[in-house]
Amino acid sequence: MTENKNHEIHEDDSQVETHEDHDHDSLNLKGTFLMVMALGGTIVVGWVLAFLLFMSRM
Amino acid sequence: MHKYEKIWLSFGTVSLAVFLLILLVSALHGGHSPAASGIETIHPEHVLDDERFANPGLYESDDPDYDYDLYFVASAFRYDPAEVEIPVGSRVKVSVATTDVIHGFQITGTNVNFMVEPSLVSNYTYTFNHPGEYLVLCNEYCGIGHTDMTSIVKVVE
Ligand SMILES: [Cu+2]
Repeated sequence: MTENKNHEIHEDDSQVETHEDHDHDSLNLKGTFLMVMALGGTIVVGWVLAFLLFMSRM
Repeated sequence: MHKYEKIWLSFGTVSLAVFLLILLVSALHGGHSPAASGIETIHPEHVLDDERFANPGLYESDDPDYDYDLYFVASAFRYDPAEVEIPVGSRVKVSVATTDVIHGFQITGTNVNFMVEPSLVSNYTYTFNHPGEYLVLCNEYCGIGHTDMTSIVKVVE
């Protein structure tokens, strides 16, 4: 029964996922971008602070 | 690909490259001892038979690289010596051995901070440039008396 259903989806062109459906250019990724860079920045700042603490105690 | 995706993927790739480079440099130049070389072993049950650890404390060294050897015995739940004085400005090689379980050895406010594992003599060389009283504490949980496991290092003029 399941096999049959999958077959039907592939026959119907409107339901086939194409590359265009996954095109990210049209998405608004501003929030994602800010969060990714904020997380990266937090890690870099944390690393630098730990290194400065180590150097100050040399 | 989205412009933002290119930016954060580049950021991630560059971070990874920098991290691997730091790892490579520190592995080759950081004075690290690979597990199979440069380490000293000692039987935990015979630590006190070793003359250095039978009378632990500060001793003048013959090695031109540092001024003093400082020996500590760590055991549940104390350090021997319980207090030690170091002349300010001296370069000291701190060596610690444990007679039982894993302990930590941290001289607070300095970079002297390492694990003390059974059957190994752990050491770190440090220059004590600032006079004061430093707490030594165990930072590896070793049992019920772990919190009371301390010693004092006094850096004096
Ligand atoms: Cu301990």
